[in-house]
Amino acid sequence: MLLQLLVNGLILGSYYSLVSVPLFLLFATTRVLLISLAGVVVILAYTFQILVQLTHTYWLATLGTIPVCIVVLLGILYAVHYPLERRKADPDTHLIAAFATLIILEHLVYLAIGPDTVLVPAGSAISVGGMTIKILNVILVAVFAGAWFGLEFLMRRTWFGRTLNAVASDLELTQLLGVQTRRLVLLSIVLSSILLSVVVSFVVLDTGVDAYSGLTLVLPGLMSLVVGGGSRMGSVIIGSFCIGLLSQLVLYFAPTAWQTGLTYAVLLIVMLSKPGGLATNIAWKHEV
Amino acid sequence: MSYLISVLTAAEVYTLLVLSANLQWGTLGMVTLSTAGFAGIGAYGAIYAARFFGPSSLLPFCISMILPAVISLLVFRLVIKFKGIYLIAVSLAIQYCLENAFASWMGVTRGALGITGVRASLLGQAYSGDLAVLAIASVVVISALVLSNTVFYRGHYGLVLRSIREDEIAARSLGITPRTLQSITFVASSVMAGLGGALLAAHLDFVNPSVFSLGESLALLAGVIVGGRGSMVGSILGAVVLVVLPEMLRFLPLPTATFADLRQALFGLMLVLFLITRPKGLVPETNFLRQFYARS
Repeated sequence: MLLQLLVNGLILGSYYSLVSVPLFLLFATTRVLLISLAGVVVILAYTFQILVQLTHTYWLATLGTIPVCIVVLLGILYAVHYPLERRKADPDTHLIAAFATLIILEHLVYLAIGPDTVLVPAGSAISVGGMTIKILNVILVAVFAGAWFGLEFLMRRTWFGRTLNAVASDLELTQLLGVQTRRLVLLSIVLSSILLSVVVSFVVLDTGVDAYSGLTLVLPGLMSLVVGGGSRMGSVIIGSFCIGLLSQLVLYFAPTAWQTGLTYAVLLIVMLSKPGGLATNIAWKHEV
Repeated sequence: MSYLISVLTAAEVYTLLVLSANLQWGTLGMVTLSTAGFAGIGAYGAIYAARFFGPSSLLPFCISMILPAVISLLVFRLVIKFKGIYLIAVSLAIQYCLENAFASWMGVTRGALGITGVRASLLGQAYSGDLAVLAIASVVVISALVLSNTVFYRGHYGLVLRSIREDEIAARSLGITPRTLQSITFVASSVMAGLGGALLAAHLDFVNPSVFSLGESLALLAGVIVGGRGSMVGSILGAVVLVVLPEMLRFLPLPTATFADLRQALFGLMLVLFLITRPKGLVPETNFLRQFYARS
């Protein structure tokens, strides 16, 4: 049972990583914690379902959701956060605005589609050493590994990655040095859209999404940002896997009903001992 | 008439809850998402205490203040270590822990089934009418407003708190000890939230975990934004908007099946528009330096 829980934790960690990395990229470039991504996730899920019905091809449907994601994210930034930025709103106001945007998106999607869960059942499960693993989840972990490799290359070897790391460390200084952050924002939106489209496709094929379930995916992503440390993409991914594994391992000791509460309680204790995050230096916390 | 009394009671209860959120955000500068969770502790604590001490006793209401106070004192040691998104994430984790406890601790909370007949168990059968709840809420809210105004908004203590919020290092250099003052304010805010939760449960006559969800915490922060951060009058106006606005939307000719969701979407839209057009709220915070010089 413990092995099954570990495998489930790794799969969950892959899901959370693919959500927390877009959150990190957007936060690093805009300094806005876009919790409204939960609403975007729901929109993408419905778009994916429609495109699957039209094309009967999963990868084509995933590709089709990418431009939708880019448009919605740009729409949110230009309609809500840039006007607030012009008025010199503080990060707290941006966060509340992001939550308000989420409320709008979720309820509009519910009005348009209704209470049904978007689920396109796909793939079968295999049994390995007494464990049951969905083939879909094996593909997900492989896709995540590929994405991580690609992202690490991007962050270490390209202009985008190096500038993004600099912006994540000190936004004002990089702006003073002449870095055009709007261009960087656009690039991180494109990258985030690709990752979000992939993860949403997997969620729709695996467990399904309803109008109000976007937060269940995005909030662990937000917590990963904090638990990992948030200054580097690698630490965010470590945070995601910690949450994924922890949320499964607590089931070894406690009933399912207490899973969420116990997971967050353990995370709180960990954060009390390491307030700067598990995988980073403490300086960045104070800067943010 | 009964409808008006109900709206007025809700506005009063929410005034107390928004005041609690405003004390944390406006006065301490700490944005937390766990206000609804503390309100839940107060509500469930009062209901559980009423089982032992019986209705028509002040003890359940005292428990609704003491329990959140004790827990918030422990929580404060954790939250004070964090700022910005870290603080928000920590408070979110606390809110989730509390929500999970409300939903899973069947012996105390009855989980999602909820507890009915709260008024009778808290106030006794004789005082379980709408007017009785309104009267009790009025007394509590007026007392809380007077106390907050004297201590946190106009008094010397309020000025010191705001100086800590603006520049903690400068405040320390003047011999102020921020931690003690911040912890007292944090606990006071949780006491208000707990009492507000107990009153909300009495007002609704029913309580289940969804009453104290993350959405409710966000609604309270929305009330703070609409009214004005750090402004007591703003808290009252924010609460009124929070209660009256959805009620006004009720009178719009909207289709019944989609009414609730359309109302929520409109509420979100109004909040965004409000943040963009009036970021400081309906009643912006008084310039406390001007206030200080006026005093001296």
